[in-house]
Amino acid sequence: MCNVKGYLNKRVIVIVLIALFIAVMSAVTVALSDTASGRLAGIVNSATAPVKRGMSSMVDSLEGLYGYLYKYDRLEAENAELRDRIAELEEQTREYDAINEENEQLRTLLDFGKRNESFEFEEVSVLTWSASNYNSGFTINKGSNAGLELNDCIVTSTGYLIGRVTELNKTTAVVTTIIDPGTNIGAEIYEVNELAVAEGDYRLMQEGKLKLTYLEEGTQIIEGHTIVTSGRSGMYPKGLVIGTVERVIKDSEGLEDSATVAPKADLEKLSKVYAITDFGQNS
Amino acid sequence: MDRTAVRKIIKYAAYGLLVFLAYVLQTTVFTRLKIFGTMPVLLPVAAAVIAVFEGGEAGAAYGLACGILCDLAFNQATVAMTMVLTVVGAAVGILSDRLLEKGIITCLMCSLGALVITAGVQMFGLVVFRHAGLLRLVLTAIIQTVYSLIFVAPIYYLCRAIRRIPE
Repeated sequence: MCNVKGYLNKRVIVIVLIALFIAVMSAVTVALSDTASGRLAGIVNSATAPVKRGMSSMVDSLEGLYGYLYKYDRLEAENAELRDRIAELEEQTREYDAINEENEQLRTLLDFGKRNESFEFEEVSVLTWSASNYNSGFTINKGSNAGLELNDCIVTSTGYLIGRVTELNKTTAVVTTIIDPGTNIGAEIYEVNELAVAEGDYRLMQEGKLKLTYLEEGTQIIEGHTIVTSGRSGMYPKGLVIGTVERVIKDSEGLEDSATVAPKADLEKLSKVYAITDFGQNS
Repeated sequence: MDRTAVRKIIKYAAYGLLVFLAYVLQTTVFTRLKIFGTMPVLLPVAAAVIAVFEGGEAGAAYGLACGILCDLAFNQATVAMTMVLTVVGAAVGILSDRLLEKGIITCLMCSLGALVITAGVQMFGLVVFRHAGLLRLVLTAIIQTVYSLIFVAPIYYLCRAIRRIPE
């Protein structure tokens, strides 16, 4: 057996001990503050935010340039196709009344502005997405300095739930999305007023979806039903739209067991989002 | 300050810049360049390659830096990857000092080891606490590892250039 001391000099041991110290301190910080990472993460995140912001802008510009250079022909063909469709759509304006009526129904469902007058919003931008293939989250460009707090809900402009703040720094915050495997949201099936739990699932996360579980016995759930937050935990306000039921999974006795839910928010195309910094006594 | 000291400072700063560049690319560019829905991870590769070239001490130090940044890139507490990449950096560095040649094949094998351990650590929580399906997790791990190995070559040549910074 080789002489271990000969291989490990003092400095290597010191560096490993520093790593151990940082790991223990982070674990303690996380345990005490209930955040996803620790104080060190906050400091480094804040320090690197300007560089990330710059890089994100650069990547956006490059994507735009790429689109201009290489997708021009395709866009031209699309343009011609769209012209044809305009004519088609002009015919469809006669159906406007029906669409308007449907729109009204959707507004009633969401009724976001009216029902949630007490909500206070903060507009934020997505800085970077998590580089892990095993979770789903992103960093936003505002933090506690802008009035954000831990567990603040993040929604789209139409009020579709995206996730919640799980790590808060002064100038940035980390948002965990609703499809993350660690997510658990008290949910309600809007059409039948039945309670359930919307939770993240690794397999479904890769498809951009989540799972609806703990369905009450006899729950009549069908594809297309809307899933909203129940508001019972106090973490999420009541009535935020999570998504729609895409597939109902039945157990061996043919009873509804769980369902696959497709989020209403398009998580692939997030840029500007909104943090609900206060939702008062909404119920 | 003599020229050797200046060279050392420039060299270690250049490695630092390389680690930071790997972090920024991992969190900005490669979150959008997915293959089969999977992103590569550059920091374990950087930690392993630097350790191959610079030995145990520098390997542990840069492993620590890569670990902290890797945890941040994964939106998680600076615990798991911080510890893992420090130990990986130290171990690869010590092996490199005594047993390994500082060639691209060594870097490839050490990076493969670092990436497999990284994927194992990433999967651990999901398997133990979330009971996620192992098959899907392993498939992601394989794609992630293979995709990340592509970056061994550019990181290797950058590190080799840094190591040869003239006095």
